[in-house]
Amino acid sequence: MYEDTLNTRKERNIFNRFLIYMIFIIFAILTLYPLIWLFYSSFKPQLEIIRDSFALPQDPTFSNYTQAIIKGKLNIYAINSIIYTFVSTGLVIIFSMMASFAFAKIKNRATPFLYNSFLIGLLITIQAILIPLFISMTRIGLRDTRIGIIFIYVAINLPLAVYLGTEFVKAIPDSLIESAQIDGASYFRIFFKIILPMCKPVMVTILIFTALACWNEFMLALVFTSSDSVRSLPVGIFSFSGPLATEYGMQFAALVIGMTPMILLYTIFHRQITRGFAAGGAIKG
Amino acid sequence: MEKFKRVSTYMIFVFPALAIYLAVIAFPIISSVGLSFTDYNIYKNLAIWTGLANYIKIFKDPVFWFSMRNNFFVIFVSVFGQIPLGFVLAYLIYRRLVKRSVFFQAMVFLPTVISTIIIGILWSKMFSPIGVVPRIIQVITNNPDYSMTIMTNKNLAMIPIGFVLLWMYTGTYLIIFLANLQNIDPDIIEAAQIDGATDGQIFRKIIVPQLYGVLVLTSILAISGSLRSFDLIFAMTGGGPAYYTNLLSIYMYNQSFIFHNYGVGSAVSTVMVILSIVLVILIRLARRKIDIMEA
Amino acid sequence: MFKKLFCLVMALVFVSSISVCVFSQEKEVELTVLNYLDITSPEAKAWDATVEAFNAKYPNITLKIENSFGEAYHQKLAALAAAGDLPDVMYLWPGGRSAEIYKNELTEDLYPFLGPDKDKFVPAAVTPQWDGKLYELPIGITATHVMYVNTKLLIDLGLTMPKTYGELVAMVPKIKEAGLYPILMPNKAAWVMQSCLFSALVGRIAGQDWLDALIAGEASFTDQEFVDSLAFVKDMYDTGLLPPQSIQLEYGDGPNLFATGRSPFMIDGDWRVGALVPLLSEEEQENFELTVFPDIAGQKGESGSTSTVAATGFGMKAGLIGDKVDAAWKWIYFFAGPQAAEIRLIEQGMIPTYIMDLSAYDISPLAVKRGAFYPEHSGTYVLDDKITGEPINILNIGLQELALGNTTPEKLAAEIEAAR
Repeated sequence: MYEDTLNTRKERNIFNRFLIYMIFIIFAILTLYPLIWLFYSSFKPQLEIIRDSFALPQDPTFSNYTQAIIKGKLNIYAINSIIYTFVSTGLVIIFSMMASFAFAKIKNRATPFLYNSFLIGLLITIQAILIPLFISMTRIGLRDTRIGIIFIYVAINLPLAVYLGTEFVKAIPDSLIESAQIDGASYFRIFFKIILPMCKPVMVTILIFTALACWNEFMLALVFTSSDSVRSLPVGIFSFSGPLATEYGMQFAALVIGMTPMILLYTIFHRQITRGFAAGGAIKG
Repeated sequence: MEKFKRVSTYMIFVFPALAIYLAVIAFPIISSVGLSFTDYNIYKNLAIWTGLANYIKIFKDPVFWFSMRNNFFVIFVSVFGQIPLGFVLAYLIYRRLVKRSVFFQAMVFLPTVISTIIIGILWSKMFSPIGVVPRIIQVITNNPDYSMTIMTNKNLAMIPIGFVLLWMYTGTYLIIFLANLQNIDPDIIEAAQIDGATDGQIFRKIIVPQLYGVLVLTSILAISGSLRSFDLIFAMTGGGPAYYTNLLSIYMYNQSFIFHNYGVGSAVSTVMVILSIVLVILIRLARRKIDIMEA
Repeated sequence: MFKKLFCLVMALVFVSSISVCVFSQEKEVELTVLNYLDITSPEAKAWDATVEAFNAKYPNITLKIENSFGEAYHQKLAALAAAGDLPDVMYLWPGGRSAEIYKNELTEDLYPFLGPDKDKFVPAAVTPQWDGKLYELPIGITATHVMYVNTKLLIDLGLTMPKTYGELVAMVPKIKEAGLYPILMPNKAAWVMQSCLFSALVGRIAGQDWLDALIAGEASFTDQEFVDSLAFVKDMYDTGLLPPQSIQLEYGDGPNLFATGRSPFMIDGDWRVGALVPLLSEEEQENFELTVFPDIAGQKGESGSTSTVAATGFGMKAGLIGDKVDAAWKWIYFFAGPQAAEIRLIEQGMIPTYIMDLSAYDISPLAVKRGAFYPEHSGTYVLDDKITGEPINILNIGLQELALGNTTPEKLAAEIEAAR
């Protein structure tokens, strides 16, 4: 009798396990297969892609890649993307932490209003501000410049960063700051010596979110850049999928080039990325 | 003097973020709301006041309502698809119910790091009549004439897009939930197990209440993200066939940049902002209610 | 005395104009160019060669080129216009989506620049585009509807060229049996149906007179002729001539699938010759023909007609001053003129608007067929060139809805008429 229930229970457990593994395996296949398919297709000559999308390349060629880089100027775009991502992310972290500190720990009657205006920024569709922004950026001469792009990227990533930062700084006990003040420390000293070191976890989170957003951003880069010398990688990649494009091999190669850096970075740093979220319990309601 | 110092320090700390934010976001939002009450000629930079005409126009347009329906579908997939799925997967990994969890976690998260534009192009190639998805189904069903019609069905065209949305965003929620689960003090769970609580009870009584806050925040992120989404559909279907996969953002884009009705486009974006504020308030209210019930 | 003075003045004018010429030739001019080009398309090669030739001819003019394509192009142009920052020269359409630019007088009338050189171009190309003015100098005449035929495939299937629509429909079962698409038409983008088939169908079914009446405001979209044209498109889907996959095919799929023998017929614009040539060897090209949609029972238009439009070209920003005007015109004229036309002719088989002897060139067989296509087929209007704004948008989207069976010809016609 007892044996029996144990057996059914065991069976159910095995079945549950099987189900759980199935879910994860399906996810893994759905992630890996498109990427692998894209990768091997990018070595096919153009008409081979059309004849059988499924098959492995019969006559692999590397020319898709060389063509894509030369014609599409992807090397220039990649350098621009790196600049935008690094500079914007750095500025977002610094500015958002400064504001977060002020909002959370320096008493001021303007705080609720200012803080909430940042939160509204979380809900804004970028397309909504495109036209007015375009006109004003052109007037002040920042359209089609690297500084202009960085300027915009910093602004659109600030709301989330300020929100995360402020919530995190709020959780730091006031007593720490008060005792430092009694010792005669200025706000600046407190910010650099106490707050910033304690905020590392949330800064990692902001870094991940912002860097991903900047690296992958498409629409604004498309509209706010005209010259090849300031365009970013996603814009370059999209130009391979224009309506008249027929050279699918080159298009696939461009897609592979576009996704590889981030996949590599994630593969190398995935522990740090996950820990970044975990260590701070970064996101709290 | 002390107060002066405090205020000036406050200003210095807030200034850089505030200045950039005002210039790039706040000012254009205000002018965009203003534009929504006008007929704006972009070529001459001339706006003529038309009152509510733009709003009346979009509210009368069935395409606008269809786009809104699609937007709600995207919100639905995000809030009731990505979040629960991410939560369940995170929980399974957290309770160590799978081996090789690092690998599986990476598999779910990987699409998150790929540019949305690339994902859109990639999946449109996969679903294309000459792509691999119909090809695989042809091989499996042994029917060489098979063609996918789901994308051309007015009511179902959003489903493949919903699938891609699940595919690309579940990983984000998985990581967020996992991080917060790992912050729960293991002693509490252990103590509950000693007291004889079942897995289900632990899940309901300990895990979920601890994560209410995160659930609320992720829901807010999901809703505002859903209303903003543009790139994926822009690259995957462009809103087609006809307008069956239009979102409000695509509808707005078409109005502004294709028909040059910037006033109408601005009216759509104003509606979108109001909509997301209302939804976020609703979520906050719901949370307050849960808090009261818990207490 | 007066005569002497006159001579002196003339001499002065002459000398100074020469010195101005010399001076301006030495002076470096930078010209901003907004071009409509998909850098990955086969057209890119011809563009590069054209720019190179221009630089060799005018070394003092530096071209600062920006390439953009599709929606991105239109969006950028609108935004640049809004900011009062239009490029010096830009790629434009004779009507359609460039109409907004013309309406607001943002570009220069080119007739004064063209002057007597007007006679060096095909008359149809240099007709007024907007308000009696020429805002861009067209580089070609475009037939937006061509029915490409793979004659070898047709013979292999045991079929012959259809003379009437009825014959074409009768071929469907046999073509389907062979696992092919009866007609290949990549209709995922909404403009394709309207531009590459429907315009020609209206010209054929309703006739040119009706089209003229429509544009003059004397005919209505709800007229039986137009409703019949819409119903005809629906019929093409119902009979299976256009397979259900048609509406899911990307525009770029068309030439690729056609070149790999997936259909005996493809409907597209004449510009697709440029994409087909690199995919086919010279021998293979012999098996392909360019023709138009067969006769339709009860058609009011001419048998064998297609839809044509004076093509795109470059226009000049309004209000340019000094050397820039001269440099801008040099570019515009060069782009439509003999040297650039020759490059496009050889690379893409594009027949120039600039009158020149074509027999002297060694061009691909398919391009030769393209050249022979134009004199054989009369042209009717392309709808999105003559009608702009909301009606065209409703039509484009409505044609897709019609294909999917979600609207009726009558309902769609009424909606278009209401938006007029």
